[in-house]
Amino acid sequence: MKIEFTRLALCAALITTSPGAGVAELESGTEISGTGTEISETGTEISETETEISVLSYNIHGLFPLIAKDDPRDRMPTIGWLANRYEVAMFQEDFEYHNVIRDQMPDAVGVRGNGMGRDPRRVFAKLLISPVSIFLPHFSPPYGAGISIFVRESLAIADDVDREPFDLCRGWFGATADCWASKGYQRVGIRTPSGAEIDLYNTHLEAGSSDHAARIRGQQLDILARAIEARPRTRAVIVGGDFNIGFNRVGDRDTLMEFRRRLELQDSGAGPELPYWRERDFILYRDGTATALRVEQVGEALEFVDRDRALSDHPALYARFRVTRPTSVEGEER
Amino acid sequence: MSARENRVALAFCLLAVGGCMRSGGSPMGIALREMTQFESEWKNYQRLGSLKALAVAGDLHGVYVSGFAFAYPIQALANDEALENCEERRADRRVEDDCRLYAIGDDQIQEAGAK
Repeated sequence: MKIEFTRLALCAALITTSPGAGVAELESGTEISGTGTEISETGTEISETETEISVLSYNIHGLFPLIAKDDPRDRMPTIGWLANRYEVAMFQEDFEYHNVIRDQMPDAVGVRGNGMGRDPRRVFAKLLISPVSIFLPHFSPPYGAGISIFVRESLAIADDVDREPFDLCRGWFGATADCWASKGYQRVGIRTPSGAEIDLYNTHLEAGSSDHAARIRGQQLDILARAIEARPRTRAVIVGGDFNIGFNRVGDRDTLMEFRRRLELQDSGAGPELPYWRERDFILYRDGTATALRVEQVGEALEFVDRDRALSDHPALYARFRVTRPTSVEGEER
Repeated sequence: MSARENRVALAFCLLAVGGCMRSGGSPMGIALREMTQFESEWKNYQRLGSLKALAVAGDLHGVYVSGFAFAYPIQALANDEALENCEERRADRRVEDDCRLYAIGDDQIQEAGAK
């Protein structure tokens, strides 16, 4: 489905001026089937409730216009407005425009990733740049992780949030000057109307095709894996983000496959559908002991593309999961 | 109307027209790349040392997966590894078509559009 951006931008502007309008009709955490009971081998009655959630993962290229080489202020309201149709939206590179996105998503709870931190190099750079930042809107490097997760209010669990910087980066100059951001991961716990719980992880890994960059990505995934391993297995897990990992790059493939094997994560299958994208973004998942996930539909969210132009330099990926929570209902008769 | 008022009116009109042209003339968004992912992948593959192979499944101008292998002592092993890697991704991305060898060594054995 392709939609003209200009029309969407107008709609986005209207939503900004009348908060809540338009998005209020969207259902949240839609419960799609109620019961479905059966008798287990032990004679206990098992009742299942199911919910469906859709997850968007999108690197939105929200940098200062001169660095982004376009005007992100034009794109951001439309991105935020379109993201409303997903129960969960994971953004990467929302550096300068988190609040613009947030304004478009009044019915969602938004959580940012880690801040800039206290790395002396970044603190020094911040001090150096501060006088310029005063006069330039949307110019505030160095940054934090630049990631955020928005979840429908009905799914949010208060204060069930973690974030951690990787404290690893390669360089300050050139195309992969990742040290300007304190990259990391964030975790947000959600609970569906049927009581199933899921840990959502969002991350943005080191960029670059060199061996050094690939090694750093491996170390960053190790940090993320340890964080996931430290959590209870009862919850299902969804990991989305810009991994900067290309299966067609030597070394990268093994790094991601090792990460997946270690955590028993499966690829949802969400990936680019247009031939011009590079496959760097993924949505991975695994069941928990008390929550099962089944992929219903995946792909590229093509509403973020209009003919030969897109709202970012990455594809927007989505996955729709059916969430099942088996519950024992003892003593009840059918 | 005085000459001064005329100049002000003209400036106002120019600004208005300029503003309209800007909003209508500069489309929102980022232009998509010209080189496709597969073209880029093929370029990278050609740089790999032999013995090597590249396997693909799906539509190379749309949704597809690939697998490659290089620096193998025997060509048949490289072929098998490329197919195996491709199959692994094929299952991930739920591509229906089977994986097929696209290139053996430096020789392209299939047209890009062929299935």
